[in-house]
Amino acid sequence: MPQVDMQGLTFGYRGRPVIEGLTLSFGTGVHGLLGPNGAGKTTLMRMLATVNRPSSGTLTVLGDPLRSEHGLRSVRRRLGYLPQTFGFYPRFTVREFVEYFAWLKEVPRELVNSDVDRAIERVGLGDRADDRLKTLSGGMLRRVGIAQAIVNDPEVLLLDEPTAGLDPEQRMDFRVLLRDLGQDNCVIVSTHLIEDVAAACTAVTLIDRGRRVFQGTPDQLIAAGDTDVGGDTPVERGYTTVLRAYRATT
Amino acid sequence: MIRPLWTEYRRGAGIVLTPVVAVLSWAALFRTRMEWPGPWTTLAERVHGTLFFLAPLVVAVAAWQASRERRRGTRELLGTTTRVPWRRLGLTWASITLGATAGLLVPLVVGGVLVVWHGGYGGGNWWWSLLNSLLAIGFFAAFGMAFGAAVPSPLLGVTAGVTVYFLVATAETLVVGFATLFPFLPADVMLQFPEFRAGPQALLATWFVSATVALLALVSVRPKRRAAVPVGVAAVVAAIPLGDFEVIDERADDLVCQDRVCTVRAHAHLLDKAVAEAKPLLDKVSGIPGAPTSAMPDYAWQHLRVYDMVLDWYGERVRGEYPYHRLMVDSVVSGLECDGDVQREFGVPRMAAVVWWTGDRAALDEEPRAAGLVDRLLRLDVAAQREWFARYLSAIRRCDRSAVPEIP
Repeated sequence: MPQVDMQGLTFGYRGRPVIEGLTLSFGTGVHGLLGPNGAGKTTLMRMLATVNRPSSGTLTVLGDPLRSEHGLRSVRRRLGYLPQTFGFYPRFTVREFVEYFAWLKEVPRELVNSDVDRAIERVGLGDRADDRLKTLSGGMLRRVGIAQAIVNDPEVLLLDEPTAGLDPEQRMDFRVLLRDLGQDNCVIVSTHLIEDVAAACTAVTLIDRGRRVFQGTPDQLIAAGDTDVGGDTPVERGYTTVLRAYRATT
Repeated sequence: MIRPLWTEYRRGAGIVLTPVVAVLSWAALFRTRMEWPGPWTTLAERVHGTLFFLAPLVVAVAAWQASRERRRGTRELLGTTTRVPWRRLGLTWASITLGATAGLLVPLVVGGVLVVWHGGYGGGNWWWSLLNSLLAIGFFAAFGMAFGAAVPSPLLGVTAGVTVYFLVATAETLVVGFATLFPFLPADVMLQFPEFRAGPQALLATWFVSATVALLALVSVRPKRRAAVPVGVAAVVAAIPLGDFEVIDERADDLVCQDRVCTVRAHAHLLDKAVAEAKPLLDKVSGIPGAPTSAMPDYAWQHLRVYDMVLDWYGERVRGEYPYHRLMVDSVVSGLECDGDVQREFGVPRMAAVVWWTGDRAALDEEPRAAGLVDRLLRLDVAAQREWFARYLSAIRRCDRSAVPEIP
C-alpha cells in the first residue's frame, strides 16, 4: 500500500485552481517532485503536510484519510516537514530548537535526547549543536530545518526546496542523507534542482499547472529526453522534452 | 514539559522580564530607604500595589511574545505538529508568567524573611492578597497574549494591549466583570488594617483563573466555538457580585500595652521602641496637673500619640524621618479644639513647651522666635518650670493665650 495516495485532488486560491484533479501515489523511496514555477509543487506539499485541506478529492497519508481531526493528528505524528520558507527562533541553539520540535511532535520523553542527538548528527551539525541559530549560515539553517523534520523519525518526509542555500559539498552530503532516509520511508522532495533528483531520487514526478505530467524513474525521464531541446544534462533534456510535449497537447 | 518551558523562558522574553520586574518591585516594596515592609498584610498590600505598573509591563511583553510565530514565520511549520496549539501557547504563557513571577519573588522572599525575622503581625488572611496578586500576573500574561495573537502587527498588538489595560484600569464606572479585573486600583477602599475575606477573595481567584483560561482558549482553540465553555464560565464568574473583598481587621486594632504605653496589635513589633521613646517623656511630666500619664495610638490631648514607625531592615527607624518624640507630644501641646488663629497665637509658647519637654532644641528651627522664651524658661528652677508647663497645658485646653504666664 502506498504511503501517500491522492485521488482527483483539487485545490485553489480565491477561485483560481492551483491543483486540478491530481491523482498520484508515493511509496517507500525518495520521490522528486519537479515542475516549473507556479506548477503547484508547494501547494501540493502544503496539502500533504496537512497545512491546507483539498477542495475536493481524497488524500490518504499512511492509511489515514485527511478529513477528521483524529486523522490529522495521527498523520502529523508520523510526518516530517520542511517548508519552503523555514522560520526559526534566532535565540534558540540548534539542540534547543530541535528539542522544541521533538516536544511539539510528541516524541516520547525517554527518547527525546537520543532522537535529537541523532537528528543533529544526521544533518552534520553535531559540532554546532550548542550554537545559537542566529550565528549559523543559510545552509546550516536549512540543515537545522531538516533536523527538526526528521527528529520524530517520520514515515513520510516532505522537503520543500531542501537544498536551497547549500553549497556543493553540503548538497552531496544531503543526497547521501536522502538515500539513507528513503531506505524505509517515503521521502518527497520538491525542488528546482533537477540534478538533485537524478542523483538521489528513486522516482520522479513532474507536474505543471496543477496536473501530473510525468511519473516514473529518473532513468525513464532521461530516456524521454530529446537531444534537440535545450539542457546541459540528460535529465534536464528529459525534463524539458516531457514538459514541452505536455504543453503542446493542452 | 519542564525542559521546553525552561528553554522557552531562557530564549523568550521571560528572562528579560525577570530582572526588570525584580528591580521595579524591589523599589516598590522597599522604597529607596530599604524599608522593612512588614507586617505581613502590609507586605501583601505592597505586592498588590506593584501590579498597577507590573501589569502593563507583563501585558506588553506577553503581546510581543505572542507575535513571535508571525514575526519569525513559523506558523506553517508549527501547524503541522501533533501537539494541540493550546499546549504550545500555554508554554509561551507559562514562560512569561514565570518570568514576571520570578522577578516579583526576589523582593517578596527577601521581604518575607525580614517580616519573619522581626515578627510582624500575621493576621488578616494576608495570603489571599498575595495569592491573587500572583494569579493576576498569569491573567495579565494571557491578556497580553490575546492582543499579540489577534493583532497582525506586533507593535500594534503591544500598543493595543497596554492602551486597553489603561483604559479599563482607569475607568470610573465599570461593569462587574471589569471591576473585578482591577480590584487593587480603588484607593478609597484601602484600609489601614485590612482583613481579606475568604469568600470574595476566593471568587477573585476563580475569576483570574477562569479569565486566564478563557483568554488562552480564545487565542489557541480551533474552531473558536470550542472556547465558548471557558468564556462562558469566566462570564458567569464575572457576573457574581464580589462584595467587600476586605474589611477592617478588628483583631489587628486591639491594644497591646507595656509600661503605660500602648499600640495596636498590628504594630506590636514597635512596642519596645515606642516605650523607649515615651517613657522619658511621661516621667518628665509625671505629677504635673493635666499632663498625660500614658501613650496611646490615637490622636488625643489626654495622652502621647504612638505612631507607626518606618523601620529599616535591621528594625531601626530609617534616617531622615521626623523626630518621633516631637510627633508623640504634638497632640498634647497643640490646641486641638482651638481655631486656626488661636493656634497661631500659641506658636511661640507651644514650641517652648515642646523644647522643654523633649529637650530637643533643634525643634526651634520650626519656630525660631521661641528661643528667647526657652532660655528664660530653662533659667527657672525645676519647680517653676513644671508650674509654667502646667499652666501652659491649662491655657491650651481653654484656647486662652492670655492664660500662659509670661516669664520676665
